[in-house]
Amino acid sequence: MEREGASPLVHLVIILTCLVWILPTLGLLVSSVRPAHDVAATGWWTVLRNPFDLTQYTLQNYREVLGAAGMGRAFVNSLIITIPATLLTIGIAAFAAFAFAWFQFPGRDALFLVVVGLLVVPLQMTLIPILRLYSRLGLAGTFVGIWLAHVGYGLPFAIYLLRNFFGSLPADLFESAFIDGASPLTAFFRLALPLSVPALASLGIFQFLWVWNDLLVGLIYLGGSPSVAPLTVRLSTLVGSYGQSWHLLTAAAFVSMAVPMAVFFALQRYFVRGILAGAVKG
Amino acid sequence: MAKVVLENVTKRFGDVVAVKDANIDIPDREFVVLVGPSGCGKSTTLRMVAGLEEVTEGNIYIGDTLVNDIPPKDRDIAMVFQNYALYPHMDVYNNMAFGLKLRKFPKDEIDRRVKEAARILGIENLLHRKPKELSGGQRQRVAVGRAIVREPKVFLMDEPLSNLDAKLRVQMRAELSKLHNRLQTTIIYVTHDQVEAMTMGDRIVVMKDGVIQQIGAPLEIYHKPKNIFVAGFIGSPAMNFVEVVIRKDEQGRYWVEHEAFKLRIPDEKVRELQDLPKYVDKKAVFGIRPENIEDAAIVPDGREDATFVANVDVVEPMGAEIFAYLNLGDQSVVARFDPASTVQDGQQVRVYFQMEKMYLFDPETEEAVA
Repeated sequence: MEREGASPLVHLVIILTCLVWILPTLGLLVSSVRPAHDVAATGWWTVLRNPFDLTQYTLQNYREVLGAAGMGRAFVNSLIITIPATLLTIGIAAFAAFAFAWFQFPGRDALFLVVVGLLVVPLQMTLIPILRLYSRLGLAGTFVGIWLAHVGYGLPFAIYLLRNFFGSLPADLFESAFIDGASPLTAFFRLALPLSVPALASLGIFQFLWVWNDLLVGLIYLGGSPSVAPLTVRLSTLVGSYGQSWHLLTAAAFVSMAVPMAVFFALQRYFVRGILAGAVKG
Repeated sequence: MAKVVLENVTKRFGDVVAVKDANIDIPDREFVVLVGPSGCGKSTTLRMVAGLEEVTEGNIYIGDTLVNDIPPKDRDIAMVFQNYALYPHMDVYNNMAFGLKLRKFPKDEIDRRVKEAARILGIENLLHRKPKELSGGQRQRVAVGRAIVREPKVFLMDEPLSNLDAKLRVQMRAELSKLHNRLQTTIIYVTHDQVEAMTMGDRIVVMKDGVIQQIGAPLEIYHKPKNIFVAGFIGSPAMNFVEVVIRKDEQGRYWVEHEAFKLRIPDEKVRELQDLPKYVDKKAVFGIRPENIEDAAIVPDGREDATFVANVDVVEPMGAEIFAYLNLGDQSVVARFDPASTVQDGQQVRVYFQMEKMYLFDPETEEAVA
């Protein structure tokens, strides 16, 4: 089981890749703390000449972004949209995935194929028909409407991911539980869910990030109305239509990144490896 | 506690017949072992009794109840799986208590039963460990404990020892037998290991290709195998089979003839084999177990008409016994000699066949000659 010793070349390649990967974010961070006229005049790398000259940095951009009208409301809206859209998706997907993985019913495989097939449908195709439907039903511009939209867009992947995870749980475990007297619902809540925490956590992170960072779906179904618009929509209005004042956008990006980062670090401890160890031999 | 009856049970997966027309009658409190090579349908049979597989045709009764359409949880059975199937996120105590909790037993009753089972199995000090913190043998005990606490009518065990190392397997074998004596419950046990079958079972069901070959007590199967498969499967090393021709001389004596030997069938054996005259001057399969072949130097009183000289290919000294591979021209025969034998590789040895313990099979049907 000895691992091949990583050569210095491999290390070099990895470090370079990391640097290239991190460069845009770094640029964004630096730009976000530079005064507006500097941002407009020179590139962010200019600071590297005197990186410790603190006079070239300012928090003015952050002050402007956070102080802009309606930012607090937008932040709350983002939470109102994202949390139910994430929990509903995971909840519905878990039930569906469990049925796909462990129940025998006619048309199961065909139905699952349809769900997987939906993964390749671009959501842009659905925008107009669904928006028309929403206007007729009065769902356009409501939270319920956007919850439904995000859950619908998220479910195919969520079901696919969880079905594969549930399917890899040992069949013996469930058979043993059924002989012990468990109903399918008991097996779901007492076995499948506790054993799937890593999968549920990663799915939670994915879905949360997608919904939080989404601009398109929010813009289409909610419109620009400040009472319901999420952070992404609000931030996009900070930038003028000609691209002026984009220095604000850099700070805004970091503001909107804060919550996903917190979610990631909160849930990443559930990525526990080997949670199944000891269930079955081998 | 209950009897289990399988009546003309057949299981098909699509076009594949996994179990064909099985009839097994298991009285209350019996320890019955289903044994056979992998893919013989023994596990499928067990899973049908458990209710994990549906019966295609036929009936299964537990006690006096027809259980064909009764779900596993209502059959009052407990099962021990080959992989233990312990719940990894629960500690040992909760693994054992899970079934009782689901059945809404009072807390103190659950506690009493779990501790009692833990005491019987010697795992009292492990009750608060998770399965991953246990060794294979300990996990096995927990899996058995989980079955015991339920106090079911029938125990089902699917190769429960096959994941243990050889030493532990022998130890657990004896413990399971002891457990059966103590619990006095019907046990159906599946294994591919004929030693487990011989040592543990009150009765053995030998299966092959989904068909039951023979049902009987271990020694009955050992001494009176119904066909070549059973004869070769039960016993270790396996019985030797040699194709021979049956001869009858003017004095009315019967012989088995092979290019390497001509041995007389004793009169009492002739009387036993009533169909023997039909095979005169015809081919038959002669069977002899390794333990019924002796080194004539050690058993000097062997009968002359059952003794011949053979070339020894290889000798394997095992300490308590010696396995000698005898070259009989077109095939090799294993003999199990007393360790006092001095036979060496490549030597010739005078061997004595205990012909009163010989077997004869029909070469076409492979059935034992009646």
